Amino acid sequence: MSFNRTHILWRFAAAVIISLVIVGYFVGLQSPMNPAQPATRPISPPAVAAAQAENSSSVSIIPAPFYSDMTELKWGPTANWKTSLKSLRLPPTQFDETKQVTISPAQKEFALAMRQTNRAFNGAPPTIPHLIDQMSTVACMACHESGFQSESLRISKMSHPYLSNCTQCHVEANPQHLKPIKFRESTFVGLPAPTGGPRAYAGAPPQIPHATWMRNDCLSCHGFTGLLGLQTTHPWRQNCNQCHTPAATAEQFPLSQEPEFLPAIPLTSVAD
Amino acid sequence: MIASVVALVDGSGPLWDSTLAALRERSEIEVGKLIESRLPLTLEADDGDGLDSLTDWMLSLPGIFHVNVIFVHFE
Amino acid sequence: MTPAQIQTPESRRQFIKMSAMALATTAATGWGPNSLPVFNASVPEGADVVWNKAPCRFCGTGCHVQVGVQDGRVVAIAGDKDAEVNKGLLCVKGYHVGGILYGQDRLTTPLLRRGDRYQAISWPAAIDIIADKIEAAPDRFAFYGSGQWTIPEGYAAQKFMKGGLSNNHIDPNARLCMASAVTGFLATYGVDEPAGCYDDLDHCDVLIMWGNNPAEMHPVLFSRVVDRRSRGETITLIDIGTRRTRTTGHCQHYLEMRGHGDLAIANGIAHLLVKNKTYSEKFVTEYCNFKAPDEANPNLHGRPIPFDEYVKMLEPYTPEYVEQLSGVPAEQIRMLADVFGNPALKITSLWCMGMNQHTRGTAINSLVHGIHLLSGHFGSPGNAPTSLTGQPSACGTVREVGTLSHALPGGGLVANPENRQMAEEIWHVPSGRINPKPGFHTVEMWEHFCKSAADGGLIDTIWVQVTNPGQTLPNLGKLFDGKAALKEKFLIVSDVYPTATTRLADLILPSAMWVEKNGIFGNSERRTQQWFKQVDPPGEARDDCWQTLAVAHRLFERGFEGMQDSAGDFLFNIIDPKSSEPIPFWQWEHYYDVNVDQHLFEEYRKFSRMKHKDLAPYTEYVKARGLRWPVVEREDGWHETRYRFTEGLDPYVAIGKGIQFYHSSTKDDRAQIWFHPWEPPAELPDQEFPLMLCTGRVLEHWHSGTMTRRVPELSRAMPGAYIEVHASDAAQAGVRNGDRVVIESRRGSIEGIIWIEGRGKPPQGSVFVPFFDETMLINQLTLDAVDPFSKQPDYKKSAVRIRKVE
Repeated sequence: MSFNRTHILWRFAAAVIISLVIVGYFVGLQSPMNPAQPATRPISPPAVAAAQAENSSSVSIIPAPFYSDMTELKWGPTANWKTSLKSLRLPPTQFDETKQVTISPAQKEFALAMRQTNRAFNGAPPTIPHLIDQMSTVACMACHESGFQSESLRISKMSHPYLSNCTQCHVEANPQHLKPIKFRESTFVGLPAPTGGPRAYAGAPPQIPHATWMRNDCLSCHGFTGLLGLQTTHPWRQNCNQCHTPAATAEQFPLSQEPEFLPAIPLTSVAD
Repeated sequence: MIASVVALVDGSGPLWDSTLAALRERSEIEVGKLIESRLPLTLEADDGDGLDSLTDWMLSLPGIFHVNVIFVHFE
Repeated sequence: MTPAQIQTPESRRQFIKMSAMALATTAATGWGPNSLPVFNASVPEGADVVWNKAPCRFCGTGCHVQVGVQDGRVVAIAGDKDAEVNKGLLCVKGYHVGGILYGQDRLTTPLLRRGDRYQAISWPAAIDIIADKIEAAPDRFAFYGSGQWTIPEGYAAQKFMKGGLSNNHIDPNARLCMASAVTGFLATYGVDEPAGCYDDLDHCDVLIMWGNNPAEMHPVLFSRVVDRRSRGETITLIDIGTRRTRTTGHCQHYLEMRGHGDLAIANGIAHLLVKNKTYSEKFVTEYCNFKAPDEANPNLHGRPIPFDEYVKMLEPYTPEYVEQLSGVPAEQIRMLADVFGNPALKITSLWCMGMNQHTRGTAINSLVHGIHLLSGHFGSPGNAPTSLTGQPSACGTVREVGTLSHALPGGGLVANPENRQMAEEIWHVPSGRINPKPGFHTVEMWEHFCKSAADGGLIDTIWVQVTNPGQTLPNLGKLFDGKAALKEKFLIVSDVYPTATTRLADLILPSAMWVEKNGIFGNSERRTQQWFKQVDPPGEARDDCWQTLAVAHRLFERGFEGMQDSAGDFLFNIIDPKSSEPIPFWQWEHYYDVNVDQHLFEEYRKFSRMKHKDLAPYTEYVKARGLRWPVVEREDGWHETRYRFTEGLDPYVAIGKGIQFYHSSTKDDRAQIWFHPWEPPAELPDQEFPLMLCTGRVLEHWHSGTMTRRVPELSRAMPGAYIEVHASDAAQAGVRNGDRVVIESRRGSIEGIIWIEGRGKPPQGSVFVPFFDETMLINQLTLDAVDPFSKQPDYKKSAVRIRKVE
């Protein structure tokens, strides 16, 4: 498979615009900040341009309504929807579990960079790139229980077992009830994601370089709903832990020794 | 086609001034104001391939690591 | 550019280019709604991350986190899988707790006000200024702390004030937070703090939340219950509240009440239990007495009443009458009474600010304990009335160390001669050193501070540590801003960031926080949790405990008598066993030569036996993820206690007793079931101010937001405070979502943005505003009326009105 890094970016731009129109119409999502990986079938920019050109009115982004304004909205097709629907792609060819996946260093780097954009440090719960229902978590499960991938949208699969209160850990990255403000600068620097696990020798399966706590569903990131750069190269193998072992340093195994205070003078007068 | 992009750059490197000058020299690129390590730009080209090659060229300049696409106008 | 100008292709192209550049610039700033996210992770890989335990810095749940430190900086946080409290789970605040250390505007040097500017001064100069102020008038000095003081910090402050200055004007912000929970426990059991623990959440069949929104405020505990459902268990969740919240979404029953409706509801349940004879006769006969308020002499002992009189007092509280008072349908009152009347169900009640920030807080706390006792839903796993705390050491430092104006460590009272004597002995100070008269409680303290001496103000200097009264006191105009005009008043603030309080401070001291220092917290379930310093504080920031001890020693150097013990030595002496010389820990460079925390804790521990709140030696806590007191030593080591007062579970209950309230206020091992009448709130909406204001918190921010608003992920998720109103009230005021309005009460007014159908849904006639936003000080509006027993104000019921900003 040939791969051009900049091509990905233009395809992103196209995917963003198309999905904004479609998704904006149907779901009211403000912006898909989590676009799909670059599709194997290219959407050529001229095709998109042609589709857009059919519509004489405007190419601007249709603002999605607020949930809170839904009751007052008139429902019906927007000016752009027909033309945009024509360019809605079918999902990419089914993920083929029998075929080897090749991943370039650039793809991996890009995937890791994407991943860093919505978490404070490696291991932090990702923030939510779209608007949410403030009161219920049922909607979260509708999509994120199994995840999904089309050409224009990637929905990540939950990496941990079902927990009932999603918004306890995952918060909106761009809430719409107030404009994001910069309140106070932070100089916090988070732990970066590891780029790979250590191998015992060349060709040996790498050890898992991150904690598997709350990340015990490998397929969440390394399966077909994950970013391409993070996907497994050998999807036909199903038992990940058979070859890839967790690293003790990352797994909170019982401390070999108790936490210790700086070399201290032993307790004196007050102890007795 | 007009695109707005943000380049991730190292504005403190020794060759940055020459990179900036090279960007400014090209009429199809308009350079915005550097914000920390982010440089907003607009690119103009006849088609997607043109934008592609512009981006490739930018990435070959010292001090530019990554180009984020913010918006593309198709006409 | 007007539309007409865009007609030519060239100008259109220019226009698009301009828009494109504007978009790119917005995106590059990182803070627009469509901007590029901020990259946090850019440190190089490779160096090892060292992980260590610490309790979370935020709420009273007391989750343990694993702190990842690399090159002297916190870089990652993980839930601690070995911690019983959270079992590896955290909430979004907890996952980002490491970020609170790294706000760019950390205070790093002592600052002294010179007119409208601050001048950086040295630590010795700052310590001298405080010593001067205290020496000038020791009895006009007050110490204002919080439930965020670590146990050793609070203990040092307590001993410094009561044992050193003979001054009882020390009170914590916890007075604003859980004082009514304390009086409720004391009035009922004769001793403070819950008998149950979080394990109840694993066993209960019914969870009743009284004015509580744990889905946002104590998410880890809430998940502990709701996640049982996904394992196939059936739990009934009942939400009694004044507004729909995220918690409501998980509940089978939602009982929407008016403010103070809880008093009527509790009485309505008791009424039906008695009427239907579904109360537990056995439990009541064996373990309980009945009490009613003593009108002539109001106190926590009340007057004993026979059961018949109790029944008679409950007579009027029929479900229909309760509906009239509370707004909750009679049917739902009957449902609740049926739940309590069913001995097969295990019922846990949770509450927090809804019942505590209440001008009848002591009453409603006592009533909820009462219905649990009356129905026998007490003393076994899953059956417990449990109050939650909002601060990490509200229980540990405030309630157990007793950093309150009337208290002594271990549950003692300054008014009690025996308690004073015990403290004087442990502190090695001359008899009579401790002042028997309780000092000023929080609201009084700030009233006196904001009043000139000529007008009778008795406090001249306040030292604030680990809290932000300039944002969190009620009726700020009266209780805080009044200071600005009074030249003779001096405000000292130890903090980590500039806050709403430092804006009026005369002296600002930079503090170390959380894992920048050693510490011990005590959480809501009696669990005492220890951690070690893991990174250095920035600049000249230093431990709060060191600051207190340094001032104490400066006074000692100057010959201030109170800072000497009976032998004439420094009150806080620690002797080096090798040289037999005192260790000069009051000098910062020597502070960590010795574990000062350990020394203070071992001394404090001697108080803990008095009320059977036994603490283990410091070294036991180093090994554990916290231990629940009483921690009692047996042959095979130290053992914690999950349930108090129950035979077999609490080592202090005598064999054969079943349930024994061994600190009963009536000295007969019985708990007190109280009757308290329904009473209206201190302020009610009227024509002029037609809406009822409730203030509170949100998931993303912790209390006044000083820490969480400096974490980008949290600050972006909830950028600022808002005004939640019902759609019909908004329509009445002619405002829509996102409009800017003025909200005002008789005490003050502020501006804010309307959010309808947002995070919560207040019913018609009420408004909700969170208090975390220092740019929107909602406490300018709140009422300063307090509960007569606990002296805790009510932040949940103030009459207000809104109008559009034109």
